[in-house]
Amino acid sequence: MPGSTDTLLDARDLIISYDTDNGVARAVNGVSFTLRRGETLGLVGETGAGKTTTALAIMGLLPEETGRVEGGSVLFEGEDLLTLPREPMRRKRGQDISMVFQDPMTALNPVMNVGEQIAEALRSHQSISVSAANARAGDMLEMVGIPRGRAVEYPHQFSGGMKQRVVIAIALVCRPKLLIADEPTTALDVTIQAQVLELIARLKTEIDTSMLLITHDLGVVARTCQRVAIMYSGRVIEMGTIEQVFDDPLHPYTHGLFGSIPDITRETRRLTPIDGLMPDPFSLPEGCAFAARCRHALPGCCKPQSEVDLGGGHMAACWRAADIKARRAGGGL
Amino acid sequence: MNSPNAQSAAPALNRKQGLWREAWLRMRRNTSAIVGMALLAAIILLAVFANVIADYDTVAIKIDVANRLKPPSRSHLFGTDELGRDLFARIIHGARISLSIGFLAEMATLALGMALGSVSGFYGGRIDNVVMRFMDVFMAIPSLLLAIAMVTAFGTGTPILVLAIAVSGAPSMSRIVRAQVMSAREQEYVEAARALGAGDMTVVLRYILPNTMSPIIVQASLDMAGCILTVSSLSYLGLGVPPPAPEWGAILSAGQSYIRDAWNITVFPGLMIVITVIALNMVGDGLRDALDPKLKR
Repeated sequence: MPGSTDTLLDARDLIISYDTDNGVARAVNGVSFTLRRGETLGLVGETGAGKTTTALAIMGLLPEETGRVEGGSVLFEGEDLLTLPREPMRRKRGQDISMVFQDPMTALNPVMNVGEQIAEALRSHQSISVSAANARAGDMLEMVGIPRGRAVEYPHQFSGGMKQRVVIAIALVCRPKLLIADEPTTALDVTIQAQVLELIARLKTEIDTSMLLITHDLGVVARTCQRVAIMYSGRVIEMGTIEQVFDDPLHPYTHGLFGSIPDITRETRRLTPIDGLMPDPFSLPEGCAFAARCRHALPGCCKPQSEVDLGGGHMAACWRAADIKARRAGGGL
Repeated sequence: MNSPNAQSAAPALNRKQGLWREAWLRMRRNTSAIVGMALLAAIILLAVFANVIADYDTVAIKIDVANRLKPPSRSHLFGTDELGRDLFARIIHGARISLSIGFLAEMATLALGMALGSVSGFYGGRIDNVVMRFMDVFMAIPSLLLAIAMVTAFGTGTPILVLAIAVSGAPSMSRIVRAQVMSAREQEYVEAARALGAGDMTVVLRYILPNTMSPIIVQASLDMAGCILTVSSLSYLGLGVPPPAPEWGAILSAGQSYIRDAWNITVFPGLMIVITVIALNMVGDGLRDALDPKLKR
């Protein structure tokens, strides 16, 4: 809950745009969510929904020339990260907030052995001797299930899943309070995905960190997260616990998302996709961004939508959400 | 390289040398690179042991007018010059001068070029514009002319010579470095390093520059041939190493008035220049093939 002591991260009305040659792309348009200590929050959305942009803004890593934060705040332990000067922000990165990138193939420095890379992360934040840092690097490798003898090997000597383990070791070596994982399994083989997710979940508990898990895979969210925020066109359109959102999706877009996933228990020949595309970030509609594709759209959807609290922390950015909920309870949907 | 299957065997061998060992394995199969390296090694050995083979003070610069302009013979392998000095001794001592000045000049070029190129490529924008326009101005001046101008303005001597060659060579080196840095800074591991809280200096020195070294090393080895040529050219024009030091270009220049009577005075230093430059180019080409990541198995 906003303001309460166990809130670690509180993003409010975050607005971010990119200056491009074709005009201003409005990537994030008022994202709000909270992350409690020890919790895993899934940030779900399709490509271009603004998930990664939100993550980069939290890290203070938006491209300097083009990315612009136009409004809002990101409170981390009560301190606004967006107004923090460069140097304190640099010290926070890696130490308090860490990030795992999507593609382990390119996220490691090819000319430095993996042990050095882990030790480097530690030594840029703590005054620690080289040998102590190397020892810690070995410990971290063992924690992620790699023999410590392989610390002297280079990234090209590891497989994709192993590399992602190394990336995770690097991200966690300083025991950060918040781990942002940006599609950590997307680039991996399906057989490795489960292993890596399990590893992340285990280490998260061991190190006692909170996690923001960015993904477009609802299955991953279901097995890893306690709460989930669904993003669409640069906004969080529905947020709640896994049970609330998965069992009772109230925003029509969320509902549509679940209709697009194959269900092993039901005999269906075709999936029901959502017609149309996400609105162009260069010219967003005034009202609900989903209205043009929504089966329940009414003239009232042309007004800007605010979040509706449906009880128990379940929010949806749709003025008809309560109505939909009531109708569904009555068997109307 | 350690085979990926031998995971359990702790590969203590491939510490830092990973890249270099692979490059060496590929280079070994390249005949012209090996020939170039052998030639270069021979010249370096001659230069290192020059004083053992023929003492500088008592042979290389000792005037013996009675024996002037002798053709090659058993006592004077390459003959003698117009002042009776043993030509072979002068040429191997000349190798010392050429190689050391060439090497120093190339190191200075690298230092200048890498500093300017990485600042320019890393920060981009206005800094890049200012630095690169400055480099363009330097590139517009023919490099030999620039070196001549600097030597005439500041006087001869090894430090000035090295500086002159470095200043004329730095613009093209800085362009190569800049291009490499620009592409490397967009790599995800650079962003990952930032996400771990690495500062600008760490990012450039530990993440970007080490990943741009291959093309820079290749360029440096090819450039060094150019440096040696420039030193010889300047000496030929009387602007390089002052006499009586036996610089190849200077020997060649002195010998040209006697070319009808004593061909050896011009031919041997000329041959040495050609051999050294060709050897460096062969090594450079070999390095380029060996370090090109696209050719990796």
